[in-house]
Amino acid sequence: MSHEHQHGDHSHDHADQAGTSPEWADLQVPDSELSPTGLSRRRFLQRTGLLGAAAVAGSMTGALPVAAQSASAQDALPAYDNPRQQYRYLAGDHHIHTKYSPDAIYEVAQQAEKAKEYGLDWMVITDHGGPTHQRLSIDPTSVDVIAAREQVADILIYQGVEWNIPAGEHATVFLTPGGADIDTLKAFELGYDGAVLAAAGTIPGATTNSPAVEEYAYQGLRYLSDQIQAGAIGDAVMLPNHVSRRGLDSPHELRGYRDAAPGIAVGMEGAPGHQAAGIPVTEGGIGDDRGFYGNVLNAESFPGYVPESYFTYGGFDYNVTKVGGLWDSMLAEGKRWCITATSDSHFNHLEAFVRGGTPEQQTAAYYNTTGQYLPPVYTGIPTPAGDFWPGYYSQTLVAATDKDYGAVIKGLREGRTYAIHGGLVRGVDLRVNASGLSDGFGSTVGGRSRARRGRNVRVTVKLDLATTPNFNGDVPQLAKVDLIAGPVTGPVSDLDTLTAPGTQVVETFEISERDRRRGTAVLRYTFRNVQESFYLRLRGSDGNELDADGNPTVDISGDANPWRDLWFYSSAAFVDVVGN
Amino acid sequence: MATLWVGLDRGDADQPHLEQRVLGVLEAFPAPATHVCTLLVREGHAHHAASLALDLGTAAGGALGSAASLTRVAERFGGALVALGAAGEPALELGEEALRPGARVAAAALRDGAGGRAIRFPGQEALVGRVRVGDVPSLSAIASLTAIGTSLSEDRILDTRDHVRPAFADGALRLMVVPAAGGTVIPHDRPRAHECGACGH
Repeated sequence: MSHEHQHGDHSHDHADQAGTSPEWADLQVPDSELSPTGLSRRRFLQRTGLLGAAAVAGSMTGALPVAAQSASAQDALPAYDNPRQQYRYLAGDHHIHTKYSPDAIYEVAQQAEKAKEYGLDWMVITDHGGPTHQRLSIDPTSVDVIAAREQVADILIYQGVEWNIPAGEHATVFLTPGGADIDTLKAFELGYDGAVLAAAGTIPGATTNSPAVEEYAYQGLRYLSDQIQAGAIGDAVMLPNHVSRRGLDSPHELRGYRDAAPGIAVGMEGAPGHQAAGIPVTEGGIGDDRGFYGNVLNAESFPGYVPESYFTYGGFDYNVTKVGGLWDSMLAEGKRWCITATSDSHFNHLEAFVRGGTPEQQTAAYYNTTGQYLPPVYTGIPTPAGDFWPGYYSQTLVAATDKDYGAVIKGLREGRTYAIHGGLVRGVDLRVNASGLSDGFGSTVGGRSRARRGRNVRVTVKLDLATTPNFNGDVPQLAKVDLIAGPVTGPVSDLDTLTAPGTQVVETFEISERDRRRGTAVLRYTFRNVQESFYLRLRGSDGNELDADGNPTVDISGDANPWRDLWFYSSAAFVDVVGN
Repeated sequence: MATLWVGLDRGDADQPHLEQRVLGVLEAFPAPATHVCTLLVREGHAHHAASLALDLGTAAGGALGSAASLTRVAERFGGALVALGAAGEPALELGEEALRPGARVAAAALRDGAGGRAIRFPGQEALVGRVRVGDVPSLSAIASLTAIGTSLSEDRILDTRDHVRPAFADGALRLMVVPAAGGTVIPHDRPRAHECGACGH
């Protein structure tokens, strides 16, 4: 699913929000005449005191606290975008298991063929790190990956690992192919995987928290950085997975990964895999927790995480769905941190494969002696399970300059991602134009642009809407898009900061039936008279599961059919406000 | 009612493992404790400790509350044991010195109603299968329910899944629940796989 976005067409625009007051902002229009999202928007603004007699759209100055622009924040910001850069939108998945994991089943080529079938342009094999995997699985995986690259055309297949972060959660780590990639993976896993270190007695346990154990994680990231510097590998990135599931990645650890070796830890899984797990038993599912987020806090959980954080909301991690939460607090530092959506495919819903071999050969004990399972066997009997094939439900869209191994990693690093569920949108193109200082197409998601203080900043979002069925057979109906923005306040003094009180939904766009029929929508918003640096991001919903503020609702255990609660999220774009 | 509060600490990282262990040790005594809890202790290295409340006014509670019985409990459980009477009473401390602070914290938290995740508590036997939310306080020692992501009414059904683990806060046992299939609510604290392959449970 590649999308070449053209920028010359102006098919249909929404009413310019700066010129006409939306119905929800017009208090002459009674509540009863508003749509549910309009009413939700009005009530939210009334509660926050932002909606009075006059419409509020278009001004950041009243909504955001004044923030000091520190020199160090400037230094940390990404480089300015080339506003004329064109991107290809490449769909992918960085979290896929195979028979080389103790708890999974499929062949590398099988995952690759399905990923291709379900529209992906890139994918990452991430079997679980550990002593067995490190010793026995990496080499045969690399043979299979090289073969799959030949066998399945037009899909980039990276080899990586699902790293047990010492003292933390799991994370995807992957490298560009070539050079000493396989030796580097082996050395990285041997030296820095939490399960390997715990088995060797180097650390007390893979998830055991202590500054000394955390240090192994930072050293591991620096090791990867050093290998790039030394020319042993081309490039590498790390993305923490299912961050809130057990509360193991504290805010200071996430910031620690980010800062340990800049450019290696670049973002996180914003929506975990295992999205089929919440399908009710009555609908043929396993009736578990969406994303398998049923874990409650344990001894190693960060104590500052609230009980609400251990759930998914509309299929996404709480840290992402909470407006003004942990992710926003990291973005408010003015640093990129992209988000993704993955399958975490181990056993796929209604598939009919079982592990090959004798009952003994299907056990973890067998894996532990061989580093792999025998090829899976097709039984013809579809079995409910928690996961979907790569690309089937969860896609990470990366805006890349080219379709190659380096460009996708660069797109992730530079924050040009959209995390999309169930084909809710086929493509999104967020552009930011800061008057007077940039022109052309503007900077895109992940980008940074400059605006003079007191001038206006225009945001344009072009949406490529679904007009054909997704893999569930439904044509997804995008109902609304929220524009979320918050001040850039610079580096935090407390590394465990997990709130960004200035961040909020500044505008909700409703998508009309006419837009959906046409298959495109263009959303426009103007930040007027900007005074301080800020960032912005998007989220969109099918409108099925919203609370009174238009936020996603908690996914109900055993009753969260993911196809009826679709969202997409963008990563952030940054605007520097400078001068007088 | 004279009550003895007992803290037990082996430095357990695994909560289900600790739960099995403490219940296994107590099996040797006839229903002696009114409350059995686990508590996340964050002092030093984070781990789980256990706590017991013994009603010394009953024969079983009094029997277990004797120094001789507590010594047997400490021996079977391992780690450290700290017993606290009401404020001002002398405390009994047994076992490993390094683990006594955690045992003390667990016992004091239960005494003060400040903390402790109850794995046994009065009325627990009535909270099996499905129960009306409004009936929970009258059936058991749980004072109130709090919900994440939903609102509660008295007629809402609590699907206990036969695993109810309320926690002490502000002097009372409270049960946190979350929405589940069919409009029910279920306890936030779910039974978890016991991942320790070595301990034989």
